[in-house]
Amino acid sequence: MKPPRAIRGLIWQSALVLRAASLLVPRAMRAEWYREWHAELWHRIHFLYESNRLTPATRMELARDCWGSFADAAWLRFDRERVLHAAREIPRTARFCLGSLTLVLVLVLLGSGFAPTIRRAFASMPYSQPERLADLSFYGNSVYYPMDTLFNTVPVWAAKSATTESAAGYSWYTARIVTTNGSRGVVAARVSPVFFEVLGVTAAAGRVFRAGDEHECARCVVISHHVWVTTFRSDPSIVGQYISVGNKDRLVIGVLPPGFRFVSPETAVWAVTSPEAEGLNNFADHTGVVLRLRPGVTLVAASREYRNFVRAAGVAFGSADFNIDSISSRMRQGVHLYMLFTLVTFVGSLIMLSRHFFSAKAGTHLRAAGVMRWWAFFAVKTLLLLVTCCVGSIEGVRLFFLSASGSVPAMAGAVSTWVFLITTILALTWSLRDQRHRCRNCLCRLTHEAYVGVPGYLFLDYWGTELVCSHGHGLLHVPQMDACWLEENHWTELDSSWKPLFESEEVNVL
Amino acid sequence: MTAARKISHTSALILQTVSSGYMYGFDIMEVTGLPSGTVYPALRRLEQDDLIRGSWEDEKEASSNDRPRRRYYRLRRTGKDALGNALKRYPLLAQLAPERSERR
Repeated sequence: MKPPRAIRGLIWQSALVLRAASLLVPRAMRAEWYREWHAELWHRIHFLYESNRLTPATRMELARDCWGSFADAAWLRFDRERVLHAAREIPRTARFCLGSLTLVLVLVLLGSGFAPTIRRAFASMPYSQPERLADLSFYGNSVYYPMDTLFNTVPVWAAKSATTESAAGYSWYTARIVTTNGSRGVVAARVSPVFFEVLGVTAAAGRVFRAGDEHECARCVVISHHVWVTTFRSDPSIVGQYISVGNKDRLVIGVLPPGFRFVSPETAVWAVTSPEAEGLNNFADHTGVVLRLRPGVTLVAASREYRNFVRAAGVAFGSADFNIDSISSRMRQGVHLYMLFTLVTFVGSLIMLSRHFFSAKAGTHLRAAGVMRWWAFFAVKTLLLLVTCCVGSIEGVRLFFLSASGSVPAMAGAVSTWVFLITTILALTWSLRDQRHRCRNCLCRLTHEAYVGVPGYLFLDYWGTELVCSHGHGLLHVPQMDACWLEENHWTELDSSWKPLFESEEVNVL
Repeated sequence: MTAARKISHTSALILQTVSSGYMYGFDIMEVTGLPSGTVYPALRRLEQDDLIRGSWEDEKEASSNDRPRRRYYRLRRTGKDALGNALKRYPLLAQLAPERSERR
């Protein structure tokens, strides 16, 4: 039975594929299955060889036929009817829908490193007595002014203020740091020398800035813990070394504690003098003042006093306005707004669906448990979607900018808001539509869409689409267009007499 | 009960091909143009439903020609009934799988 030399390799290759496929075949049938396939291929190859039809094209056909053995083997292992039925029916179920959405949310959480921005917003503030800290932030579209104005003015305000114990200015910008691993863009900040003192923060290694450093240590920087770990591999000797920031050598005097964050958690380098590369100007909304209030002083009182200070400063701050808020509120403001909007959207979606539910008599024949299940499914589904949109837009945009430029620019907030709004609208639209097209009893997606009626007879007859539950629970009539004389979506419950029509018939489908 | 079951067009075509004298998988594939991944599972299914019967070629004949034994498929009575019903549903089926003139 030794095949000719020319086709020996071909037979050997096909036998190898068949052996691999045979692993899928149940052990009891494996030998016979292999014998049949092997004999068929053996004959086929010999026939092609003997009739001089063994060309590259027929070889390709042979290979395709050989790989078909996997399909045959798979159907011997798995129940074809059950697999096809499951592939058709499982994606329609409520369980599959919730499972998929949960999986997407888990992937978003894992991908973002468990939503660090949101976690930080709810974590305790890494400052001493944070309840006494306030933040004065300027805002104004494209308003900018000399950066030194702020840093020269703040000590004067702090000295004559009756409401604040101390105050420190800050200003942030993007810069590049150069290490042995190359250069990378980072967020850098210029702060008043007493900035960390006002916050009540000490260094994890080395020291933070102190009064007088603007003269004695003008070229010094303090680096964030994250940069110390990721860029300098937690090298303890980094303190006392020079690093290149914005093409200038700067002496590292300290490393901030791991949980420290201000303005942006990605702020990597802190300095007490102006950044050379960026000049002396900065946008108003990239600057601010952190205030430590005297015990018992309210934000309103501090705000009144500082409004007078800013007014007295005249044109120094251009037309930029300012706002004083508690530091905790400022740090959480963005995330709180997202959360609030998510909650409002969720409640709104329930109201929108209830309008459909009651006007379309969607749940007329349902028992209380069925109604509860229908609403619970919608609530969980919508909530999962909204949370995914919220986390995805906040963390996704942050990660996008971090990976693209190494820092999170001011526009990231606006981009994130737009992404959140658009994805939320899309998610909500899908969720409502999906809910309307689900069986009121088993919550499976309705199927077998049938177009009913004729557009020309719209005034005389029904024109729309009908969908049916594959388990025979009911029928949904969806009018083709919304009009006051047409019914809205109408659900017709089918009684048990319809059951035989929907019983799965074993059909030899191949 | 089995004979009364509906069969798909593909299964009916394979039954018709077997009925026309094409008795093994690759022969059926060549006539119908169906891939191996469709023909073999269909043959197993039809055999399981007692519409066709598979049997191994006589060992002596195969060994005398120095080749491995083949598995041949033939129509059962129930298969003929099912094919008859299928031909009523798909009248052009007979033209798709013509009678075999000679057997290899």
